Amino acid sequence: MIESQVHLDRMFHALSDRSRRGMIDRLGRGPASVTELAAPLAVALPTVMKHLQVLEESGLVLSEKSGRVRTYRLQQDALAAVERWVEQRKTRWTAAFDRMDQLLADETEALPE
Amino acid sequence: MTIRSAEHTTFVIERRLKAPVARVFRAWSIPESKRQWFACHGDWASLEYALDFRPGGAEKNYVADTDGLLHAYDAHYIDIVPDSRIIYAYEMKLGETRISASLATVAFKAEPGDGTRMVFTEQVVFLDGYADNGARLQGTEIGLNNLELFLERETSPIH
Repeated sequence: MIESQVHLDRMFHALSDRSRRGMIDRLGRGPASVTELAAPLAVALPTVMKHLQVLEESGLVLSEKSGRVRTYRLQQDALAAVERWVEQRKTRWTAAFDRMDQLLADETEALPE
Repeated sequence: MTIRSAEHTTFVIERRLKAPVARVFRAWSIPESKRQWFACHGDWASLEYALDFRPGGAEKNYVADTDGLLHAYDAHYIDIVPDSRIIYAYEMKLGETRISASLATVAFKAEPGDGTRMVFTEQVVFLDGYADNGARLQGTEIGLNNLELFLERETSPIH
């Protein structure tokens, strides 16, 4: 219970700043690098990084580093990816179980009454 | 450069089958039966299938997709209770890349009228953003639209 309250505090704190809300808006249109997120803002890069750190600690955004570029995206995108993988795997199993169903039905027909 | 990630999730598929438990269990335990429903992938080419159905035994299913890419399934059986449950671990590889590791539990229960209720539970870790279809599904390719699509698909029954 207390843990989830701490989580909510972090999330509301993250959302309490206009620049950070702007970044979330931007990430809603797709993942972006620090430079891309900083571009529309009239603030120094270290400040942008600080904002992003707050957003990441709140669990609202995720980041991944590829080479020298760190890319940020909304947490929801990460969830969507997992949902898609699961959906794919479930589709595979469902197709296999359909074949098993058919196999069992064929066997039933072949069995003497 | 590979982005390392490990995403955990669990899913359940429940089926009601019109065959007694003993026959459903045989479909899992006899290599020739299992190969027929498990290893056939339409226009994918089957390269190798083997099943050693016992605790500590292994199963492999290697297929090549239409692009010639190897999809390798390797399983290790942990717990087998005839006509009741099967627990096994398996990994999936695309070519040389391990894309997931899973623990699967299949539970069987007799239903009235010679039917069987089969519950398949898979606890899976998806690795480094790869999916079974061979495509790399990183954040850049996945918008919020996908979640919407997924939810739409979920509300319409598969069969």
